[in-house]
Order: sequence, then structure tokens, then C-alpha cells
Amino acid sequence: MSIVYNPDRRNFLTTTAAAGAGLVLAFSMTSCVRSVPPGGRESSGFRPSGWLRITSDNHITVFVAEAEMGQGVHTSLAMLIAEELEVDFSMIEVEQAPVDNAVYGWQYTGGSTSVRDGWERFRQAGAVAREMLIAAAARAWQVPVAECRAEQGGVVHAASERRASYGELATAAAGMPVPQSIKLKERGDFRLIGKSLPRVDAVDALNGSIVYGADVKLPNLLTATIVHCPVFGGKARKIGSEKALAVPGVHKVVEIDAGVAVVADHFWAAKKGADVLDIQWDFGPHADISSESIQQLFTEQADGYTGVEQEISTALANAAQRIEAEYHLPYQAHATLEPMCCTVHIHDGVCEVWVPSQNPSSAQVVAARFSMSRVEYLAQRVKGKLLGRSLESVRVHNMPLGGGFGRRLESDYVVEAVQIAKAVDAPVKLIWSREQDIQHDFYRPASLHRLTAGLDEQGMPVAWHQLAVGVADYGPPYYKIPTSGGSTIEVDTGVPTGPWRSVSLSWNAFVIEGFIDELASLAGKDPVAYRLDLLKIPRLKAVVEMAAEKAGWGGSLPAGHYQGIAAQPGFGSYVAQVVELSVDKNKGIRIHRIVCVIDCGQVVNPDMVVSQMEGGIIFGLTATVTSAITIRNGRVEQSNFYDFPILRMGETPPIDVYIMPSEEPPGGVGEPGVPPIAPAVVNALYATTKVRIRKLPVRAEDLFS
Amino acid sequence: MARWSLTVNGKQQEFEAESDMPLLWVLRDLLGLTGTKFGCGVGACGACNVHLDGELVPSCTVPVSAVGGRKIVTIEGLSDKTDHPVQKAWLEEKVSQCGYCQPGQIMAAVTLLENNPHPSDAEIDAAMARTLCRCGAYPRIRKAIHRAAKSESL
Ligand code: FES
Ligand code: FES
Repeated sequence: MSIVYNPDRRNFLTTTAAAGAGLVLAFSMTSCVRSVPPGGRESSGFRPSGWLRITSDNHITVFVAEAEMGQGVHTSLAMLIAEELEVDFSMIEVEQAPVDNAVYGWQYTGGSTSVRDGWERFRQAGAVAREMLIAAAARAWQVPVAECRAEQGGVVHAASERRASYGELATAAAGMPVPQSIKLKERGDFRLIGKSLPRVDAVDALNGSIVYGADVKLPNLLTATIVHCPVFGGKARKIGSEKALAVPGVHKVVEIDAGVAVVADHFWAAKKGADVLDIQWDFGPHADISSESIQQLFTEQADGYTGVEQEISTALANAAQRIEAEYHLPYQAHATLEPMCCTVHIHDGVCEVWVPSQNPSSAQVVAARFSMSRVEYLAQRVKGKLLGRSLESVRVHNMPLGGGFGRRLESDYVVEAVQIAKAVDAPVKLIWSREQDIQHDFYRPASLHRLTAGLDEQGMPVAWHQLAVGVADYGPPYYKIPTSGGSTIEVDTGVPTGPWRSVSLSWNAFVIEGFIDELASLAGKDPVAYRLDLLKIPRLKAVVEMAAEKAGWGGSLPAGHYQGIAAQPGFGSYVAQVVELSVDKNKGIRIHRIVCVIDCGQVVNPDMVVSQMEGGIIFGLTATVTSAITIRNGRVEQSNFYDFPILRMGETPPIDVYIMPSEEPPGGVGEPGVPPIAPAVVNALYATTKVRIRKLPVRAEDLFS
Repeated sequence: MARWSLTVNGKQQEFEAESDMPLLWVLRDLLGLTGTKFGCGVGACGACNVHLDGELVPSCTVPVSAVGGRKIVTIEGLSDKTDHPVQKAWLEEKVSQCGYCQPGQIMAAVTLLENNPHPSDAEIDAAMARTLCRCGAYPRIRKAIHRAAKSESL
């Protein structure tokens, strides 16, 4: 077999590796979702895909199509293959799969799905390879298959004391029929799954050798940076580029759809050029929007809303007591530490793209659309069909990401880099300044929520309604409430929005867990006990119980310390967090400890789960206590880390993470750590000060008013 | 455009650059040393931390003309085999997430430990305050610094 999906990582900026002899294992995307792989490659006509390659010189390579952005997915998915393949993990090399929808399907890393989706697929890939290698050995040795077994990267026949490495068997294995049924290992037999193996890129991360998107090097590479209209939706009317062109090292000023780019020998010249561009902007229709005007718009929309379902309004009207509360969340930036960047080289009929992307398939599509020459474009327009360049002629190299958090699901910067590359006759690397990155994000949307609950005489909820304004999702409560529901009013504010780590749970958890805490205190009940009475989902209940126990809930705490709890199901996992804090009018809020319990089903690599919980909590804390994006005169007021501060080490409290043992299929871990932290903090603040914070981020004036 | 000669990781490097070009971009774009990262460009994130005669500086704030004869060490020059005690401690504590901030974190930790071999938590907080990690690897960075402080080879 000679299908090789792998450009060798070390050389892949210059070469496309040639196929080597050996076994490239192959499944179609449809086979991945079945527990039994379908018929062989030859017989079924399924197009092969390549998650695994074993060469005759015994190199075992796992190709991961998912993007590595700190969640450790290259390691966890490779562990699944290694488990079934019966190889030591140290024998495995992992490479980023190239972007090829025909082989891997649409490549997209988001929604905390990688391990959930890969759990069956990658183990099957390992198991099928193992069986074919065993079959190859049995045939070579003329012994029954049942007498052979796989062990540490080879097949052994105990009776005759023979052993062959996978490399030795690879070529023969490639000719074996794909087994019709595969038995995956029982949990008790796992050697690797459930172990905290170090990441495959652990050493590279410590010596500067990971080549991130911003680090791409190519012969004759130029560097560009871009200036967008400061006001959302505006455009350049007139560009004065003399001063920019006079900067030594600047080659060109290029106007593209999204703004004005300066192309230079290196970033510094490009940035200096960009700083002296003299641009007259047409600010467009959003020049007057501000956080206040958006807030007012939300309020008007909420005030005018009359669509509460009859059943819910009746239940609310008939309740012994009715309470209402309004919650607010601001825009949030992703602020990945590596700013947006993308390198493009259009040459020899090919558009080549190097991009750190969570959505490289989208990068490929937009590059196909925007890299066409004028001639190609006109030809297609004459035919009445704007198809873009063929996808085969767009080679996307997905580079390691210096953070993703949802920002790199968008391909805006790919379009920009392609348009710039069309204007120059060389490869060009676009790097945004931090200021552009903060001011031209796709933000977590701002939103307003009106919560209404009806309570019975005991203070237990009988009716619940959430009106969510500014977002597309409300959160159906996971508490036992006889009549509940919600509605949304989407509002076009002019501010671009997009998914931000944990997506709708980043607002709904705050709202639901804040409001349920209000109901508990109204009822005069303990917040944990109240939740346990009402929780419908046993696994969520269990993490709440465990978090309370681990945090010493209800026990004696140091003077002035109080606790708050919040829980949230999502992405196939269940998380509860307890925050212990104290408040000092002069010194502010001090968080002493955070306890986090997650039930994410079967754990592949426990340490990476802990790491994602820590990271998720810290990401969520930044949005809870330190940062927000605000709008004035149609533009973002913040511009860099000094006014969009992200949490620092000294502001990071001790975090204790516990994993609930579980044999359920894996749940996601990249996002579920984020949602509970904001409500857990405001609930603890209520316990401390009796002030209910319903607006993020928490401000001293709200707490001490 | 002027000619410069700098000592980077023990090697003499000659190149031409405008005098206001920050050391960060000299390292990355002229010398090809991309282990030093760009995060903010204004001295606010520490992704570009390097050592100048052993002193920690964000290289985006140092124009090439201000380097003078000081010896530059970047993450690439910290050790030959990624075996500096701080790197080893980082490996043991499984610190890195996306990894983009880690060169800067490691450079900051090395300076801290050279000046203060057994720092308290508060001293760690103070020394590391200007080096940001959006992924939130802080709890492990702290543990790794304590671990490195305990290692004999430092
Ligand atoms: S890039 Fe130099 S401090 Fe951020
Ligand atoms: S590990 Fe990603 S920014 Fe620190």
C-alpha cells in the first residue's frame, strides 16, 4: 500500500514525503461510528483514511486530524490506538494529519469532542491493525492465528518461540483482509488508558522547538500585519500609504476586504508601517454603538417581550411566591497568547496555507474561494458559478496552536492572508498585533437574562422561565421543576460574536446556578441540600455531593471564609465546583481554595483532565473577576493585556481537582471546567456579604455599594 | 540601517537592522530563533522573555541598539538537551498546555531561582507576575519552580 497522508513533520515546510512501504491503516469516516469495522478496503469501496502507519523499518506513526491547542489531544488519541495495538507508548510517533476531507471528514476541533468521537474510532484503528499483523505472522509461520498474540510492538508464537516486529510484518499485513469483526479490550485489560502518560510534545514545549503558526519559516518569506477599521463594519475610504512605504523594509501596502495590510521584510517593519498608515475610514452604521446602548437595546427587547408560553405563565401566576432577577454578562475576548496568524504561498497552481486552526477544513474552503486569480474568477463568473479553486489545489498545513478557545474556529485571518498573498509574488506570513487581536475578535456575546421562578409554600420551585436576550441559547434547567422553559431574543448589535470556551454554558451556567442559589436562600435552605433535593441527573448529583464533601462544606472554616457552589452538566461531562473565599473592603476578594469534581466518564489520561480543569477554571476566573470587553463609539475600548488583564499567577488560587471514577463512555474536558466557576464565585460572595452579584465581571462597586 | 554584532547563545551573530528594531524581532525574524515568542509587543506578557547578562528582560521592549555587549540567552540556548533543572522540573510537573508561553515562563523561572534559590510562594508570585499564561498552567508552574528549587543540580 502506498497511500501516505503524512508530510514528515520535521521537513514538511519544504517537502511532501513520499510513500514508504508498509501498512497504512484505513477506515472511512462511516466505519468509525460502527463498533464493527465494515468490509475490507478492497471489497467495500470505502475510501481509506490514515490514522496509523507502520513502516517496514518499524516506525509507528499515528496521524491525528484534531488540532493540538494545549488540551493534549495528540497524546490522548494516540494512546487509544497504542492501547489496542499493543505497543509501548514510547514507540509511537504522532503527527498532525494533513487537511483532507475525503480521508478525515470535515476537520474541526471544538465542542470538547475529540476524545468522545475518537474513543471507538481510534481503538478500532489499533485493534484492526493488530489483528492484521497477527494474521500476517500466522500466515508466514504457517500456524493458527489463535496461537499468536500481539505484545509490545510485535507478534509472538509462544510454542515455537518465534517473534516478529510489526515493522517486519508491515508489508505482509497490508495484504491481509480487514477483519470483519473486532473485539476491543475489556476495561480490566487496559495498559495505557487511565494512565497519566506525559504528552508526546512535552519536551519540545520546553526548548522552543515547537513550530507554531507564528513561527513558520519559508525561503523568501515576507511578513504582513493588518489594520482593521476600528469601528465594526467600517471600511477604508482613502489610504495614505507614503509614510508606510518610506519605512525601511516595507514592500507594499495592500487594501483587502477586511482592512489595510502592510507587507515587509519582517514583522517590525510591517508594524512600523502599519502605525504610520494614514487612513480615512468610512465608519459605517455602527459608529455610535456602545456597551450602554447595547444594554439599552437588550432592555427594550426584554421589556417588549410577551411570548412566555401560556403553561409557564399560568404556573408562575399560580405559585405561592414569584421572584424575578436580571443577570448581565459582557463581551469577552479569547486573547490566545499567540495572536491570529496565517502564512500563504500561492505558487505553481497551488495555494499553500500554514495556519494554526481549529477549523482547517474551513481554512481550505475559504482559501479555495479567495485564492483564485482574476482570470479564474472571471471564467467562473462567465459560467455563472463561483466555485473557487479546487480543494485539491489548496494544501493546508495545520500548525500547533498557541491557544484556541474557540477563536480559531473562525477563518477570517485566513481570508486576509490569502488576499494579501495574491498581491505579492512570495510567501507571506500575516501576524496580527495584539491590539488588533483584542479589538477584532469574534467575542463571547454580551447578554441579558430575565429569570422568573414560582415557588411553593416550602420555597421549592414549581415554575421557571429564562428570557435570554442577545444570545441564541437559553439553558433548560436540569433541576426538577414541574413547569419550566425559556426563550431567546437574538439581537444584531454590530459586534461580531462567536464561540468562546464553553459557548452557551459560559452564560447559562452563571444564570441558572446563580438563580437557583437565590431560590435556595429565599427558601432558607442550604445551597447544597437544596440542589441535591432538586437535581434530576444522578451523575450531576454525585459530583455535587463529592465536591461538598471534599471542600468540607458545612464544616468549620477559618473566620471570614465562606463557600459557594455551582454545578453544570455539559459536553458529556458533569462538573461541580466549590469556591472558598473571604472579602475585605480594602483588599478585595481573596479566593482561598477551589474544589472541582468532574465526572467525564472513562478517563483516558487523568493528568490531562486535571490540567484542563485547572486551565478552564483560570480562564473562567479571568472573566469572573478581572476582564471584560466594552464598546464605545463603535469600537472596543481595550487593546492589550494591560487593559484586558488575564489572571496572573499570584491571582490564581489553589485548585484541587477530583475525578469521579466512572465506566461511562468518555465525556469532554476542554470546556466543562469553565462554566461553574463564575456562579460558584458569586454564590460564595453572597454567602460572605449577602450581596447578590448578577453582573459580570464582579466589581467592587457592586459588592460594596 | 546599521550593522550589529551580538552574542546570542554563545555565538557571535552579525546582521543589519534599524537601530529601533526590538531584540524580539531580531531574534525571530533575522536570526530565525523563534523559540522566543510574540504575545503583546509592549512588555505586558513575558512571552518574549530572554536573559541579557543573566537579567530577565522582555525582548520586545529592548531595541537592538540598547543591547550593547550584553550576552543574550534565549530558550534555545538554555541547555543542550533540554536538561536544565528548570526544564526537567517542568517536564516532571507536566506544566505545558498549548506551550506558547512556556519559553517565557522558563526563562523567568531560571532568573528567579538564580537570584533566590528557595523562593516562597509570594516571591514566586512577584517574580512571575509579568509572564502570562492564557491556558492557566500557573498551578503547575508554581509546583515546578518549587521542585526545581529542591533539585540539587541547580
Ligand atoms: S511580547 Fe514582549 S512582553 Fe509580550
Ligand atoms: S500554556 Fe498556553 S499560554 Fe501558557
